[in-house]
Amino acid sequence: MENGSAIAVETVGLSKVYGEGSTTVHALRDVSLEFPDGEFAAIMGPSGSGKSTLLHLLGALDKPSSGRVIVGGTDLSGLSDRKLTLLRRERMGFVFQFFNLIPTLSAEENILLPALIAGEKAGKYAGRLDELLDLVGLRARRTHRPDELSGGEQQRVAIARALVRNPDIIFADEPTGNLDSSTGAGVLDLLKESAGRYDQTILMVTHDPRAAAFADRVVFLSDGRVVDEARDPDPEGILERIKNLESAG
Amino acid sequence: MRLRRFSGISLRNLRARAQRTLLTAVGIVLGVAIVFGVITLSDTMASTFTDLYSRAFGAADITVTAAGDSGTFDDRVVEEVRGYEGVESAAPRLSLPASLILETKGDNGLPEVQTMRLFGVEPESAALATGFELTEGRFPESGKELTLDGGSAESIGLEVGDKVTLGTPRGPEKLELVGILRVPGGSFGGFGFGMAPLSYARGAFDEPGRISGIAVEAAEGTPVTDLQERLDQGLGEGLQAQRSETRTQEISSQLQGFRISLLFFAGTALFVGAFLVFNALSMTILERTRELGMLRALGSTRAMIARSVMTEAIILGLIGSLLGVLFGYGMAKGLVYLFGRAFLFQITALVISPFALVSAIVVGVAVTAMAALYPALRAGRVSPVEAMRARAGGTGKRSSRIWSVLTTLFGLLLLGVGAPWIYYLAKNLSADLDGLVYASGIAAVIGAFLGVSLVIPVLVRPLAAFFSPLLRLLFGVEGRMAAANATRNTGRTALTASALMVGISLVVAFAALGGSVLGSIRTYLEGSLGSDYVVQPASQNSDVTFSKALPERISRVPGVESTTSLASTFLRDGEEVNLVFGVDERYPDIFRIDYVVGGPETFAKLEDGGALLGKQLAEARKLGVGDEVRLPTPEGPKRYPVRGILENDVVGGGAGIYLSRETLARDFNERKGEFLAIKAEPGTDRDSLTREIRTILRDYPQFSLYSNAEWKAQIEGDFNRQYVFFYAIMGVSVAVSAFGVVNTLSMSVFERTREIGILRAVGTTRLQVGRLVIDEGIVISLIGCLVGVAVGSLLGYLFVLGSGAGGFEVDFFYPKVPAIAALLAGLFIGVFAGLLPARSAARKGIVEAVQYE
Repeated sequence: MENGSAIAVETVGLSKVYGEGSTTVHALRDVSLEFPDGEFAAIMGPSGSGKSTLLHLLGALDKPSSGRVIVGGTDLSGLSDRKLTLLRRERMGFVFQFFNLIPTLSAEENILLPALIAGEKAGKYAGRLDELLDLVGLRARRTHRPDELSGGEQQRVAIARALVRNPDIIFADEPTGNLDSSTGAGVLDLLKESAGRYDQTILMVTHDPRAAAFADRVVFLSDGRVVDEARDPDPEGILERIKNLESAG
Repeated sequence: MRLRRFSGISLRNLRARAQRTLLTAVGIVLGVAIVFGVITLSDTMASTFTDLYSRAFGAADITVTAAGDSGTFDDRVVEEVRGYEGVESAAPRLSLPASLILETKGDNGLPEVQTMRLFGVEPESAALATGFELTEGRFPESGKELTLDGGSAESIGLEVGDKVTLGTPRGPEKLELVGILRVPGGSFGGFGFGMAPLSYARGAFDEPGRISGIAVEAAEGTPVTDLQERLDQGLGEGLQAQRSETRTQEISSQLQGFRISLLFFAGTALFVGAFLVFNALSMTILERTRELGMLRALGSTRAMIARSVMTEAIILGLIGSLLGVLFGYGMAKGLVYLFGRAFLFQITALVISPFALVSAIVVGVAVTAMAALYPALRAGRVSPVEAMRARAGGTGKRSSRIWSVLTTLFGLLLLGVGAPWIYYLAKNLSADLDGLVYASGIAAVIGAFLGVSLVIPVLVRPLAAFFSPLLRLLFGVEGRMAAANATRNTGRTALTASALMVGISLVVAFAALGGSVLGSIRTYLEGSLGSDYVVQPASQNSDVTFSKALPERISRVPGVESTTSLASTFLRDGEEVNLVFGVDERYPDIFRIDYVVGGPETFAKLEDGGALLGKQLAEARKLGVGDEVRLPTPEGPKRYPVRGILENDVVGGGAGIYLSRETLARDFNERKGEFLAIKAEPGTDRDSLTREIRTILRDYPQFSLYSNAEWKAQIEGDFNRQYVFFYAIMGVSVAVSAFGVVNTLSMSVFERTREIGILRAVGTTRLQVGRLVIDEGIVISLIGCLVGVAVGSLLGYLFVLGSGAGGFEVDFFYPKVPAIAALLAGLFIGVFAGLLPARSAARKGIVEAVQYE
């Protein structure tokens, strides 16, 4: 691709420890993973398995205790907070469980937010904005505030926001966690379609087997370790593996 | 309008949280308003004084007065001055305290009196003697003629040609009004200003051959400074020549101390306003933790986030300051009114200086920005991971134990340094305050406040526990829960309580000082004043005097055992100001005095030209009995042997110099008396005595007779009027902190939406929920008021210790009533501040609240 690497994100011996002494929690233990360009990967696991921690580290939101994260060929180890921030700004997009739209901004202003944060002129994005509004089907509701939108609409705004600057990787944290199943399915279709159209990598954390079934690959975490993997999964298969995990643990 | 850049979010946030913005801005608005009001008041005063002063006294290039700027000198000096090369003209004047006696009668059935200053002038040089211009008629020329300021003439209803009654030391005299003067601002600060022929003034006021000043105009081409120096050198040590500008500057610099203390009181309101901003922004940031995390995840740098919070604060500060200035205009009017009432000084036109405007706004914005600095930095430190947390970080992070111990220790340290420094300054200061020392005292007070604020967090839990049983008793289980709620965010409770503490403690301290001074005077009057009656000017702001005739007539009244009166003058010798009194041998019978050296008999020894000194003055100049004290007289410096040292004298304080009446008359030309005390023979019929004295006083309507009780009431009345003025300024900071309580409570309600929903779901009534909020408000404000009363009492005690530095010992009277009032105010503020938040808590829908994440 652009950077000449076939790997979008890679981790090597990644560990994260919280607290110290008797309250120590090993959230991640020696995790090594590769996510190729253009892959839609889901990360699953019971609560406390470390899936959220993994997403934080992959998304350059937090720093590992040991090990490395390599994003598009850039080793994040030792980068300053400022460098990490700029990296997120330029290469990553985020979709959150609680949408995290700014309540005082309209739908289109929320979509443009990453551009504004990057100090770019809103005018430059006029075409891109229309394109995204069409993609997420919200052209008619562009000037509405978040509280005037349904949950599904809000999450579609959030997806458009994640896409606006055409990032290499989109991180999604339980994107359907606050939506009913059919709305959730719509959101995931949209995510998958747009990623395909713009050739983006998607890393999604979820605990919902039906959501995970949209992914090309599912990585299963338990107790901070990668314990299983499934390619082109279906919901039943995923559910089966989770049951196995839980009975094993 | 479409958002065009990132920084626009700040404005959106302010708009979205309009109610909070408004509440937060109230602190800034009131703080800036009172600062602006006080600056405007002092600017107005300074300009009124200097303007009037420079016009009344300073139209000429140079002014010649007695050295020390007080007292009179021989009018032969006028011819001497006219003989100097470069003198175009020289106008003598005799400045006298006088009063106009009006036709209207006051409440007591006596004629009303208008205090005035009278210039005796020569007809041919009258125009130079003062800078006021004639609007009508002419200057006085001969006989009993008077030219009066327009304001007085109008308010009394006089026209040129009318007869006016002038109160003089030899009794009331009818003069003809021959001219009207235009005085800028309409009136001479509520005083009258008039001019009469010099010859008449000398006769009526018993000042033969005397003048108090010469206005000198330099000839064209003569450098004024050169002429001034030649006159100053040539006229001898007893006289001084000053450029009029120099004199005007001196007047305005004398107002500086007053200005600083007013600004200090006003500044506390702004300081408290800063607490509000800090609290509100900290809370806003806590609420927006997830949003800030999201912005960080999306690539905002720490600096961008901090900047956006600062932008929010600066916009807030700007809006608040602009509103504050508008509001401050009204406040300035109110202050001028209260000032006029307190000090019987009327100011008609406000002086709005660009400096006041700009500095109030700059200070308002700067204070807001400073208060926002820490919250802004904290906002920048929010981790991007917060974007993914399920719950917004509602409770806030507990600071570590070590940190809280450190801040408490630091607070105690500040208190430990500040309080003794205030004590030391108070103990060692005389009335003449050096600006820098004064500033360090204010810094010490602020330091002590900060110190207490840092200690309050550790007091919150014990105090809340202390109030808990009381609240439980009064309000049942809600009371107890409220006390517990108040300790859930000790930091915020402490900050809110601290803000209240500052205002309350100032009020209590000030009340302690005032109450102690008043109490001491009362005790003195009750126990130690040896006289039964005093004769005092009828109006508080008057310094009219009487000639020998009045005490002589009164002492002949049957039943009068003895009288004493005193005369005084003040002398400025370089930096030093000496208060010089002329007393007679009966003085120690009337006034209780403690003696360091000597006794009552030393007063009789003054007839040989000796002097008695106040203790502080004697110590400062290292003088003792046997030494000589050197004083500047119009005829040059003279030396007076020291005969004794006095302590705790109510009249002169510790800085007085006492000479015999004869010495004061001979060397300083001060013959007229200004305070007359009368001792009745035991067993005399008081009613007939007062009737007889009042009959004599009909010839002197500018004076009133007071019994000790009446005099006491008069003093207390004057005192209280002045206190209202200061309380009004301090009240603003209490009001601001009350808004702080509202703010904190609405934050608590917002934060506990879910919890309130659960309480409601399990059967708590709306009323109970509302009471819970109000009770929490009571706990917070009671903590603030209780600590405020404690700190205020301590501060007041230190002030009282310091006020003894003037020489009159003041006993500490504990301000019981203000202290109880402050605690009740705490209760009231708690209830009042809780009303709106309680309503919003009670109105929350249960389902909505429970679902709230």
